[in-house]
This record gives sequence, C-alpha cells and structure tokens, in this order.
Amino acid sequence: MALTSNNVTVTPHWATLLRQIKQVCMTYVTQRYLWIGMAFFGLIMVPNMLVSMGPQHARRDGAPTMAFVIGMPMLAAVPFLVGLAKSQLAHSRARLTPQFLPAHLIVLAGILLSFLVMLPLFAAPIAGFEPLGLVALAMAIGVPALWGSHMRRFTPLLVSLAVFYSLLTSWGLDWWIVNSVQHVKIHAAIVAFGIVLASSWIWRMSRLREEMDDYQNAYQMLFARRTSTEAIEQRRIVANQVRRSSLLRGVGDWWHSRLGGYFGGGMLGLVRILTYGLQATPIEVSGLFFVAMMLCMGVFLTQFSVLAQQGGDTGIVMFLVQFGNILPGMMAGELLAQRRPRIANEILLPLTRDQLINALFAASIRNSIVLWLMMHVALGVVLAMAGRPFEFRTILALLLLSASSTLAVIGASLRVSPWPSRAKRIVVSMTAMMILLPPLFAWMVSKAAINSATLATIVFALTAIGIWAIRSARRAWLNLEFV
Amino acid sequence: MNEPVLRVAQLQKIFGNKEVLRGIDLAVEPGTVLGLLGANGSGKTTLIKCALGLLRPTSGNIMVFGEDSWNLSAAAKARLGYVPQEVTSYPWMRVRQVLAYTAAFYERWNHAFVQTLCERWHVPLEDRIGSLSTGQLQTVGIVLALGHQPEFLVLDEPVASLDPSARRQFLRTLLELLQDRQQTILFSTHITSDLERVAQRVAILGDGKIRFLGELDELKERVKRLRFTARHDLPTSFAVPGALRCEVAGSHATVSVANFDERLVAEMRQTWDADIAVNDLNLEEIFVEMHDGAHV
Repeated sequence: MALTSNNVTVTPHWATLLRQIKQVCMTYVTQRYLWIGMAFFGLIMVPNMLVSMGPQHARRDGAPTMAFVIGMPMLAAVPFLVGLAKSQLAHSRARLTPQFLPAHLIVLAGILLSFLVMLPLFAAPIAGFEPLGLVALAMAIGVPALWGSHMRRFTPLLVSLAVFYSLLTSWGLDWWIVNSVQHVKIHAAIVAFGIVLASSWIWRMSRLREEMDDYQNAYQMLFARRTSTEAIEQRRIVANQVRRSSLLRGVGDWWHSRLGGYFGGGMLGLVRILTYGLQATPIEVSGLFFVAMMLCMGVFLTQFSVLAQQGGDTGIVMFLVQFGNILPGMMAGELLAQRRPRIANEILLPLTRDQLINALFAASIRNSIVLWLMMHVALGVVLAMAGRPFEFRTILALLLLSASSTLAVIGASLRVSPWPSRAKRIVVSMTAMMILLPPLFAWMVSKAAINSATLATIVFALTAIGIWAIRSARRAWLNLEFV
Repeated sequence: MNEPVLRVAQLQKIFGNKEVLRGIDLAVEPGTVLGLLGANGSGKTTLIKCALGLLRPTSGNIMVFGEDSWNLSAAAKARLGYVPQEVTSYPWMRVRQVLAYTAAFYERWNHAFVQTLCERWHVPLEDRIGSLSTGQLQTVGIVLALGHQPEFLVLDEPVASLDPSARRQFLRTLLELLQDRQQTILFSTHITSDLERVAQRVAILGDGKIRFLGELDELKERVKRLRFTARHDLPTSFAVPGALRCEVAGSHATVSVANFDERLVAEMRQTWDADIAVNDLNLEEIFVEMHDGAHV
C-alpha cells in the first residue's frame, strides 16, 4: 500500500478541530485515577449540595458547606490538572506536531472555566448565595494553586491555603459568602484578576520551551512505568529544587559532609548511612517545616476559627492529631517506594538482602518516629497556648492512641511501598487510614464512656496491626524482583 | 581447575505468559571476558539481572562465586561490580557525596583509584546527580562499579550513552584492568567493535536461548561468507548445507555458513562447477548473519 496519496480529502477546519478536541478529551477521561478521584469527591460533594438545599438554604449555617464544595475541588484537582497539562505541553511533540496547541488549549480553558466559573455558578442558586462571591472564592483558591503547582513553589499555594482556611473563621465566611453583596467591587476585581492570571497560565503553557525553569513534567511520578527520558526529567526536578533553595543546599551539604568513611559493619552505622538516601536533608531539619505548619494551623484553629468559638475542641484536636499521624506514617513507605529504583543498585552493596532491607526499614521507621515526636511536641505547645485544661490520663491516652495508630499507618504505607504505581499506593493507603484512624476519633468523641481496658484493647489491636503489616511489608521487599 | 565465577544451569525466566529465557546454560571462568550479544528483547538484561539476584529465576540454578545468586552473602557482593543500562542515583547529592556514600559500604574502597578515574574521565565532582547528562551519569555509574576493584564486573551496555572519546577511554581502562589483575568480565553490548577489542569469548543470545557460546576466534573461523561464481546460471534449487543465508543472482551466489569446512567448499566447487571465494567476517557481520539467518 502506498504511504502517500494525491487524493487527499480536505476536511473543514472546524471539523478537524472538533475531532482533535475529542481526542484531547480522551486523554483526560481515560485516566483511571481521575474517575476514582471523581467518585471519591462525588461521595462527599453530592450530600453536601443536597444539605445546602434543605433548611440551611440561603442561611449562614449553609456557608461552611458551600466553602467546602467550592474549595476542596480547587485544592485537590488543580495540581492533577497542571500535571496532566504539562505532560502534554512541556514536551517536544507540542512544538513539532502540527495543530497540536489549539485543541489542547481549548480543552484546558474549558476545564478551568468549569472549575473556576461554572461550578460556583451552579452551586450558588442551589445554596441560595450570591454567585459573584463564590466565583471570587473559587478564583482566590484555584488560581494561586494553579501557578504554585505550575512553578512548583510553595508561596502561591500558601495563598490558596490561607483563603481556604479563612473560611473556618466567621469573618471569612461572611466576607466571601454570606455578605458578599457588600463586597461586590472587590470580588469583581478578584474575579477579573483571576481571569487574567488563569489566561496567562494558558498562554504560558502554549509558550513552554526546554530552556525555561518551569518546563518540568512530574506527572509520570504517579505511575508505575517511566521511560528513561521521564526518569531524567524527574532527576532534574529534584536537582532544581535543591539548587533553588540556599537553605536546602547549605543544610544538605553540611549533612553530607558528615558521611564519614566505612560504616564499620554494625547495624546502627548501616542505618545511619542508609538514612542519607531517604531525603536531601535530615528529618530533624525537614520536619521543622511540618512543625511550623502544625503550630500555624493549631494556633489558628484554637484561637480564631469558628470551631474554637463554638467550643469544638474535639474536632480541632482530632484534625491536628490526624495531621500528626498521617504525615509521619505515610512518609515511611513513600520515601522507601521512591527509592526503589536506587534500591535495585543497593541490593548489590556488600550486605545480605536481609541486612539491607532491615536497615532500610529501620531508617524509614526512625525518621517517622522523629517526625511524630516533633509534631506532637508542637501539638502540645498548641494545646498549652490554647489554655484548655487536660488531665494527665487524657494526655497519656491520646499519646498511646496516636502512637499505636501511627504505627498502624506506618505498617500500611510500608506494605504498599513495593507497588510501583504511586497513584495506587496513595489510593490504597488513604483507604487503609480511613479504617485505622476511627478508633482514635471514637475515643476522643466519647472518652468519658471508654474505660482503661477498652482503651488498652484498642491500643493493642492497632499495635498488632502495625507490627503485622510491617512484617508483611518486609517479606514483600525481601522477595521483590527489580525488573 | 578453578570454579567458574558464574555458573548458570537450565535457567528459565517467565514474565506472565512470556518466556524470556529458555534453558540457558553458561559458565564464566575466572580471568575471562565474556561478551554477551543478542538482538533487542533477546533476554540479555534479564539474564544479567537473574545472574545478579535482581530477578528470581522461574527455574534453574545460578551460582556466583559458588553461592546462590538470589541469596548472595555480603562477602560475595564485595567482589562484584555492576554497571546497569540505566544508572540511577540520588538526584539531590553532589557527585562527590554519592562517591562518599557508596564508599561507606565498602571496607576496601580504593579512593586513589577513584580519584584517578574521576580525573581521567573529567567527572564533575561538585555537580548534583540530577543535573548531569545521561553520559556523565553513566560515567559516574562506571566509577561507582569500579571503586572497590571488583573481581567480577558485570557491564550491561555500559557505553551506550558515552561519546566516542569517553567510550575509548573506558575501554582503555578496562584493558588496563585486565592486564593488571585477573579480572572476570561479563560484557553485554550492541557495539561489537568494543567486544572484539576486549572479549575472548562470546555468547550469542536469540529467542531466549544461547545460540553460540565459545571463543571469539572460533566463531570467526566457523562463520564465513562464500562467494560463488559459476560457469552457468545457478538453478533456483541452489542450496548449501548449513547455510545461514543464501542469495542467488544468475551465475553468482553469496552464501553465509555457520559451520565452515574446507571439505564443504571443495565439494561445492565440484557440484556447481564454480569458483568459490571465502571471506572472513567481523563480529558485527557475523551477528547480523546469525540474527537474520534465524529469521529467514
């Protein structure tokens, strides 16, 4: 069959464009984890929307629900959207394939329009609030998250988080949602500024070139299989992050200068050396960032939030404990999973397979324990500043429950760490956490009704689950093949 | 007689429904350089990974320094060096930090030798791993594999990403190592000219089986190209026993044979009333003939 033909059928431009748009849409809808995410959010969003149609309609009580409905999709979906868009546009094919850009940019603009404008416009009449305030809210959370994810910088994301958390205060709810009629000019200005920034992001995506700092594609990190080019790109992203931060550079170099010579053959020395392969800086330093987050969030929630004013101590402590549990727990397995391609080389270091895996597990769990301790000291500071009286028994019980549930989360994250797909690891470990953390919350809600024996049983059960999961994870790593 | 450094017996490896290795038998004697050749997907990397205990064989045995490859002792691993096809390391670390990190695991790390290699190959010690080019990273991978001066070096396409100058320097270092000490090397590559410079023995892999295992000189003696020039046009039924490939054009024919024998040539001369010229082949030509011949 001839590869070329003179009988070329000329298709109208608009028809070609429509066909291309359809194909671009397919690249989004064929993402399995997009559907899982949408189902997950659907489960949360739909009941919230229905609640806002009931007795809370057009009332201040309905405002927190609306804040959640508008805010959460922005924070959760925008980084995913940026990742997928970059995987398509921060690529040589975007420059070399004819007519590549129009269809891709139209789809991107359509998705942004849906999130930033259509969703608030749809939700506003249902909940009975002014649409402009909700659109401004969506813009104020979504657009900084868009640019923050794009540039891989934390400062714009901080703006998004600040706006989102302002919705936990009564003045924040009033300003954005309940009394938005009084701030029409400012909200209109925020919407206009948001449109300019969102459009400029699309423009930037259409102009990406390899020499640019933001020409980075981290999307494939989510998935099991990567090409060598994608691996190179991910290497560069990490190196760029270190290069951009003088603090990270300085601390990292100081830490690595303490590597020393031969580890000496002992287990402790081995764990110390292997810890260098987990992160660019020691956990005692990188953990300070999370301690600062815990302090900021804790002080804000206990001193200024609606929850504090309504006497919702349990809810606040639950949230902070959850933060202090999940992060150290998840870290153990995730850092090991990200190290997997390098462990394929380290398996040939002069260590037995058992020695290497045991020491890697010890290094990961040690890091998690240090971070857990740091975050719980910060939690203690927050509670002390709040001036709430807590009995010694309550504090001891909280620490025991928190420690045992963290051990269970560590076990769950280590158990899924041999899986190559990051998306699969996150989905399964988050589900596991939803099952493991309720005993802690149940105790906090009804601690007066739970006696010491029941508490001890819960602690014992969570510890047993954690130890079983860690042992199972160890077996999986010992039998792992490095394809 | 010395125990082979690597002994593979009846190795089979299956991924899902795909049988990648089908009953491989192989031995690498101490002090030899064995070149591993094969088309893409022929199972070279799988064989190497099974030999190093990175993959578990579906059936069969692999012994390295007399130990089961899946459960190698620390002492055996201290005698092993491996350069993978795709070198991975810690992107946030500087090259000198990665060298120090790796050195920390070896009791007998040769710092002076590593320094010499880094100077010779212009390794950018202060650069971060993440910012290196693929070729530079490959060079770092080679330095890391040689730093403890292993007795058995396994190279899986180590020079694929190197420029010609760096490749030449690497081969020079390899030859120096071979002269200085009894180094055993398993060298997989597509660059056959490199193998011809360093390998004494070759193994050719095809469809998951060893198609040839022996001395390189023996292979060159066995695989030849015969050029027939007959008095009359050759018939369509023209054939040579054991031919890998046969092309006939009128009174001329070109035939590649896998088991060259002077008696066969004499017999053919008489049968077809033809002049026959015998051409030697280089390793690349032999590989192409054997690979294409298997798929005719």
